Amino acid sequence: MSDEIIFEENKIRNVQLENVLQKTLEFNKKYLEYLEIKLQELKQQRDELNG
Amino acid sequence: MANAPVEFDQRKLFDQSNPLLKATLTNILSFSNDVAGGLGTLLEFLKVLKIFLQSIKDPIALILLPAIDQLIDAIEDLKNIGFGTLTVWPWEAGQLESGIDTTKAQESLRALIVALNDVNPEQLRWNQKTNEFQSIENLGDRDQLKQQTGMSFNFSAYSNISLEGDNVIVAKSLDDTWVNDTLNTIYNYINPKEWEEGDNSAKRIINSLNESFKFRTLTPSQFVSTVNSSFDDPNDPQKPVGSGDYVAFVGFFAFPTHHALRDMINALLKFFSNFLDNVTDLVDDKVSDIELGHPLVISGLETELKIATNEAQNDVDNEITDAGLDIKDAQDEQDEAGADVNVQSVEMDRIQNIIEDARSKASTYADQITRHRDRITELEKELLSLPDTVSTQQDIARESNLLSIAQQNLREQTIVMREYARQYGNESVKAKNLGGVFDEKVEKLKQLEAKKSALEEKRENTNLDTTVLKKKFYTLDNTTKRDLSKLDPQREYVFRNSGPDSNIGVATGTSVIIPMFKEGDLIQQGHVFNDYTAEVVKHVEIRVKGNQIISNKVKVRKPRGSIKENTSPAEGDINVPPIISLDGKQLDTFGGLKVGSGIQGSRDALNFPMFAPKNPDVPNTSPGVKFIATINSGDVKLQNVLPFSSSEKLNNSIYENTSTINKPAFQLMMENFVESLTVGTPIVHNFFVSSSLSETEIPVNPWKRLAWTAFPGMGVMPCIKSVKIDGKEIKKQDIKTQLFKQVKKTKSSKDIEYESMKKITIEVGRMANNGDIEDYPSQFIRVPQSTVLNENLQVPITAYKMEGSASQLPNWKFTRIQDLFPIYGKVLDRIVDKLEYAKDLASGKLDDFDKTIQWFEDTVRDLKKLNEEIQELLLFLASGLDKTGFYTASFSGNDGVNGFKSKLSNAKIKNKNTEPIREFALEPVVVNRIGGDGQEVQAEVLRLVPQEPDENAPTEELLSWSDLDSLKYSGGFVFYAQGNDTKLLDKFLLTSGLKKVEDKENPQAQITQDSDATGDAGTTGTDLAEVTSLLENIQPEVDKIEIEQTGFINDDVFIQANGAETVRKDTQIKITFKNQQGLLTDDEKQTIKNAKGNDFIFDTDMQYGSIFPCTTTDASIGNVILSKDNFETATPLNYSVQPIKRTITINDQEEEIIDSIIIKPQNDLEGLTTYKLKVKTSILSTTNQRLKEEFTTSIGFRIAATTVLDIGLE
Repeated sequence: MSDEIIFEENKIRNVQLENVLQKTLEFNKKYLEYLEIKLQELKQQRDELNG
Repeated sequence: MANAPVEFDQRKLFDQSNPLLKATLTNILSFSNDVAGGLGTLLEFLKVLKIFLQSIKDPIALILLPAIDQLIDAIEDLKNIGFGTLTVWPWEAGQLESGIDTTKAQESLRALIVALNDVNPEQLRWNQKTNEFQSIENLGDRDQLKQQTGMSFNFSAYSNISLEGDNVIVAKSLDDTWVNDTLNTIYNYINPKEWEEGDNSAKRIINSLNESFKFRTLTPSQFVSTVNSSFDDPNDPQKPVGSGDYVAFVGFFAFPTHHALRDMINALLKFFSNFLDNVTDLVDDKVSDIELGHPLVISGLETELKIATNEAQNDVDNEITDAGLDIKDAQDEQDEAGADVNVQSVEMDRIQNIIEDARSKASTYADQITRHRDRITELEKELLSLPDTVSTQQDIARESNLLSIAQQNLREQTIVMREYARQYGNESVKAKNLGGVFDEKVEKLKQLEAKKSALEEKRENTNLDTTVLKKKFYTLDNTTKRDLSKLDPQREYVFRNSGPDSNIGVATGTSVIIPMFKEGDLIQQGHVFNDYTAEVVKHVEIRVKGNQIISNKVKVRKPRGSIKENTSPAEGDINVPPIISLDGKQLDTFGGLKVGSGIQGSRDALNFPMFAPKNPDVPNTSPGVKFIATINSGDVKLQNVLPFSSSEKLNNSIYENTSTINKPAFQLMMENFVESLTVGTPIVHNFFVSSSLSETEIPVNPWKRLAWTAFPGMGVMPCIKSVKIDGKEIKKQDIKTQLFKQVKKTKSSKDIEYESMKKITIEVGRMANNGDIEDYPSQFIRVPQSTVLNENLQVPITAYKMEGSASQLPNWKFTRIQDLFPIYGKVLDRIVDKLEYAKDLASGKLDDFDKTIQWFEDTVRDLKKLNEEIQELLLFLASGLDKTGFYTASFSGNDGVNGFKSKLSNAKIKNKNTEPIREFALEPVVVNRIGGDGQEVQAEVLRLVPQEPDENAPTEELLSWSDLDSLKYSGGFVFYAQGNDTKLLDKFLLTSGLKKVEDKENPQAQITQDSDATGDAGTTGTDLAEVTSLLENIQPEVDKIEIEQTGFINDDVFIQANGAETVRKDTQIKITFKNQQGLLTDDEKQTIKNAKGNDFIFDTDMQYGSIFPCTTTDASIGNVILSKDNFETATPLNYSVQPIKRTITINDQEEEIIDSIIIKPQNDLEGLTTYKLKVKTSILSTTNQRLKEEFTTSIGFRIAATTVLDIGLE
């Protein structure tokens, strides 16, 4: 009977994808932080250049 | 603001020693690591990244470029994963139950007749032939009767006597009027139209009862049979075909009530939004198409009416005239030829002259008619453009008058001509002076005269008045096909309603009419106890060709029940009741009792729309896409396939013609062309010599066409077996990339350019009856001069598509992951967008401050937006799909469609009976009662007593489909992939969470309670209790908790946390798990393997998704909690968990396992503070076992004092 197909009630939850997205989110947050600091730096540099 | 001309030093901007950048890069690594783990596609990316990280100079440029390219590819790939999907929803494939239980009504009707007619119920019976109730009397045994009476009872003379077994039965009709009265009353009561216009409370109640049955039902067995039939649906070109490897995922639900169904649909709606395009609020009011068959009339009505109205006689008269003229013309010809003519009588001469005169006059009048008509047309045109319309209108009136005079004159002359032609014919017969050549014509004339007098006689006897029709109307079983012989068999006619509120269907080019349903008509199949009713939205059209109905489409709503299909041969009458209009005004003249009222009533009845149901599904084929190819004799491969276009002929130079192949319109045309080349599509060309398919060979007769249901299994029909691009089997996703060769990209190239188009090859096969596509006999491909180049192929190859009769089966479609989860696709798109942006940055395109600042601002804004969307998606994913009553299984095989069908039909459903319903039994119980004398007495009564649940009752049982027949609200879906697509479907199932990585396909525990096991577990099965007990040894537990070694930065060295001092504020915390697998002997391991599969993992392998760090100060949340006050409050941790993967080898296969994870506090920890960590038991291993016990660090670890390094004053 190893060929028999059995239908079961399973919870469908995509934990792996959740993890991936959670990581993406965290990465983005860090990246945002970095970008915002760099943005400030650039703006400051620009202001200095423009006197 | 002016652009500052500054030197843009990217290296300076992204200084590698910047700690923030370093942290970001570390995160990229961790991110890609997770993506790789989750999606299983980015390992290469990781490797590249590592190499570059080791030798960075300009980190962003070096790392991001190749990495991002790969990431984009992987995500695009993921987004485009597609496969065949089939959805079977109860509101589409289910059936509406007929509103009332008609068996009960039938019983009541019988009882009523018995009571009112005073007959013995056992002697009442319904006569199918005469459609009436009869009382019967059993005269006795035939042989005994013969002995007693000497009569043999062979019944020829006694139609009311019949034999049932050996018994002789005499049947006697009940009083006709009475039966009709009764039936009529009941008929009206059961007529849904009557309910809708219900004018009394009883009717309203019946109507509302009926409405409560509006929900379609579908049992799990019907779900399975619908799925399986959809593989055979001849009208579905997208259906999977053939044999070979397949992977399938089937999900279905089954519920006893409609409310549960509604709940399930809501859950599905949340999870697979795009699956549910056609949700109709589950109340059935959607419009659907039905296909009907030949128009019908009440049997005999057409012919009898013609006789009664002299139409039939007129027809014969006309035939007689024609025959007479025939004779005369033949005579004239002989005269002219100077033949030795027989002597004409004087009378014949006279008649001949009259005919000639009439002919010449008729010709003049015909000319006049043409002239007047033309003039009227001209004048009407003038009328449109002239300002003065009065005189023109007068002219038109005058011309019209002249026209009608000419028409009248022509009619007169025609009558004269015909009448005298008849006389001439008769005179010829009288004179008997015609030669042998005329004998035949004269004989015909005689026959026609005889026919006419027979019709006259019949007319005298025809009684259209009453009883014949009224019975027929009741049952309407006695029908014949409407006579459409006056239509030209060579032409196709399209009948449509002559007006919005008209029942009369007309077609151009004929005076023949076909009564059609009109909007709002209630239609019904079956009589008093109907099988099917619906309300007509529109009777679209009836197409007729060669006296056959090509299509007869009606749009309906509120269908109840299902149409019984006609299975009788096309030539015969239908063997099921017709589909009629319930409220046809045409039948009003029959009055309350449907009693006919002469000719007018019969004429009206002729205009009563009534149709045969269609024959079972007959596929129609029609030419689809045309293409050219290089064909070689004896070679089943068609090379260099190109689409055929009569306006713009493609030739072999197209493959390198960059100006054309870079045109989006051309690319789109080629993509559409390739998409239309579906495997299994019949193809036709003269060079495939055994072809049996051509338009002329399709039998028009639908019954013969039924043989085509076997088509394309007729054995020699060539069809597309495979489509290859550049020798590679075509994949359904992203045809453009497969078809066009891209110009190698340089750093500066942004737009994609193509340098050439690859060649398409089609292999010809033939479809066998079992749906497999087998090899086409190569000898049947014969080309003159043995080869022809595609561009020289004069007649293109035609691929046929199936269409025509609408099938009720749901259709297969090709679905991509982004169609299934739109939000998922959207987020992926946005990620790709961002990565493209990052590429621009990394490739140094941002060469001035303003651009750079703009880029940063845009990126910050978009990244925030992306984060919001990811959070939305996370919320959606976290809710998952977890519903009782929703069952899934994924399975695969190597025997294609047939294998799938058989596996699905034989599948079992695991019913978890975790909380068995208590059973009750009626048992005698002694109670105290007050007796009649006021004294308390003891009495024994029966009471419902709850039974003790059976301890041994199984908590799980395997059911088959038919066991679930009581669950009428079911439905589901199938994902099915074959060949190349199987890997894609597998990938999809994993990435969508439908199938878990650790899922073994249908792990079949060979568990038996076999008591005579020999001890050899490998062959005789395993004791469940023993396995469960052995499995305790691999139950996971916390091995150790570590923190990063003090004094080193980011060196990934972890030391025991408990008791550690001067720990870094930003330490990560590592948790390692273990189990007691070492305690298992080899035999014991084998026992577990027997039950759980040979590739069972004994090493500790955790589901890191089951780890939920406490991310707030509430210490009761999550299962990993960090605290500085003995868990009164918590110190927030990051939600994310970093798995530490380890590779082990099982059965020579490398498997990755996770036995430790790293978590991080959200913020730097407080100096000189002691923290403890608690790990709760709800964390799961991949064997779905919880932690053996809760774990807490007893002493904890103490954070170092704040240093200058921490505050950045280095």
